[in-house]
Amino acid sequence: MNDIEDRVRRALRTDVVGVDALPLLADIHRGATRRRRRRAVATVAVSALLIAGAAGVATTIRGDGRAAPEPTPLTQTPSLSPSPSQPALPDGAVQGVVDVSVVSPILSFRLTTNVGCVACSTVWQNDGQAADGWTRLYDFEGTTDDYGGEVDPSYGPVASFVMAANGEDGWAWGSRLRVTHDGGHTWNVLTTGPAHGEGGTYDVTVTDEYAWALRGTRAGEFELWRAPLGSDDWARADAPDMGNVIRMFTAGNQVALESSTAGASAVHVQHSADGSAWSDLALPCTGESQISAARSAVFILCPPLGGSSAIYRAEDLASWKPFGHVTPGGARAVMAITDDRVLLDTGPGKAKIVTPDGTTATDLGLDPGEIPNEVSTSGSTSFLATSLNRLVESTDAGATWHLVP
Amino acid sequence: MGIGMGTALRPERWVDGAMHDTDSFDAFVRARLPELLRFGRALTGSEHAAADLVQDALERTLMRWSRITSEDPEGYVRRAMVNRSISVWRKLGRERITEQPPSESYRDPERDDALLEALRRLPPRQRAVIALRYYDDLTEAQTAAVLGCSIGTVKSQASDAMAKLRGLLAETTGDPS
Repeated sequence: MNDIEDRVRRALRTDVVGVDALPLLADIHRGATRRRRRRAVATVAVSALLIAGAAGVATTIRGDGRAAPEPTPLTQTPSLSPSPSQPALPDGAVQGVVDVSVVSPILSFRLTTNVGCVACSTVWQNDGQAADGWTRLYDFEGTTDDYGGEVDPSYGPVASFVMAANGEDGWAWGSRLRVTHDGGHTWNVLTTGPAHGEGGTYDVTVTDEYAWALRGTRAGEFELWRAPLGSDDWARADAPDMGNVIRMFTAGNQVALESSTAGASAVHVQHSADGSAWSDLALPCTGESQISAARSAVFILCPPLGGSSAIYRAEDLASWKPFGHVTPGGARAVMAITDDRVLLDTGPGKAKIVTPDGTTATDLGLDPGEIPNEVSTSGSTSFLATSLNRLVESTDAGATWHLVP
Repeated sequence: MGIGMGTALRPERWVDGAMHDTDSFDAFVRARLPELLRFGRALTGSEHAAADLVQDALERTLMRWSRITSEDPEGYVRRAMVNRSISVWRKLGRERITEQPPSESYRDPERDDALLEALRRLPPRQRAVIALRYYDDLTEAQTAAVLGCSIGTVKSQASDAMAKLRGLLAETTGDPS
């Protein structure tokens, strides 16, 4: 911990004075009454629309408290994106790309929220066949189960997804975990394995053989599960130090868990092929390091030391070897693109590509303040999802990037 | 402390007149208000905006009180506050700086106005990361789960936020720490 962190903690822990509970409670009760009246009016309107719907008028409006239908595959021919008839979104709604998964140089998937629909997430496929590149595959329509209550139209129910390299198996998750085994055309909510019980957070990653799921329980504990690709036969796996796990990633056929003791900056990595025996991977540096995994190799960006941050690579999680360094001032984030190429976010609008041959600047074409969130690569094709829900693409191994319309 | 992760609340209709448990709601608010206000200030950087955020979240909570009392009401309120603070940020165009000055009528000598001023100048999602990491003491994984983003994003947002705070504090006071 450093001085600025101490100061932030101190400042945030001082009391807020001058807000009395009694007047605030009166305002809250009045506000809830107003909301209830508005809801009653809205319910009448929705009922009228439903009656109209029975006469053949389609509607996508859902009344508050009424469970929306379970996600269903689109029955019509997949439409091109984005839909020209975008339903109205509430102020502040999130719209755009939230995740991307590239499974081969000619097959990519992306996940959007509120594109051509409301309170929904959509899986799209790009196999080079559609005129504008992307074919709409499946809409996840948010339900009260997804939102823990009232459906919030400002964002979709699914925030992340991953597709296996076979292009058939995939997992998508928000507050619930869903699975596809037919290339994203149909998805089902999982209720067993890592999705057992009530509530949870998820992360899923895949190797050539297994899907690995990390489930965070409401008690703040973590569970590790695995299933052979193509199946829903989940089995529990355990690893040492599960209480301090902060992240899961894969490299080759290995799954790895990064852990960190609360309040300590050091991380710890252990890896296994099948979850039965775990090996430690000692780190080459201490402090606030960042790890990013490619297909088979893993990179670590060490904290700045003497104005320079070192980057190391571990192939197949065996041992770390120096890969490069970045100066001055280090980098905000590291993202592995391929086994011999990493992208460094070096500040607003700036990025660098580091390869064994050296470091070169690259322009991602992002707005000031826009941050790369997720990158997915196969061959020389990379897609990068940003914090402004946009997608940028590189077809030359990260040398140049362009915004995907 | 912390936000309940992935809480699945059972759908249930609100029925007028069914809110027979307002006493327990009022007791909850009285007991937890100071904590919720501090969390709101961490999310917004402003005591005034914190009060608005808490009121908004508690109104939503009151409408569902009969069904969430058996769950985790504070987790529900906190999650609503986080979502609302981020959505307000989006509504305002991502980079708009909240100009709301801190309340002077209740000046607390312990209050670090310079830091709160710097906090208000961060994008709301970065403020949310700071609030969850340094006020709620959530791990990076838990913070990522609450915000629906990757751990890498949490790390980069936290790193960027701290760098901005250092710069802003050095700019305004000449002392980043």
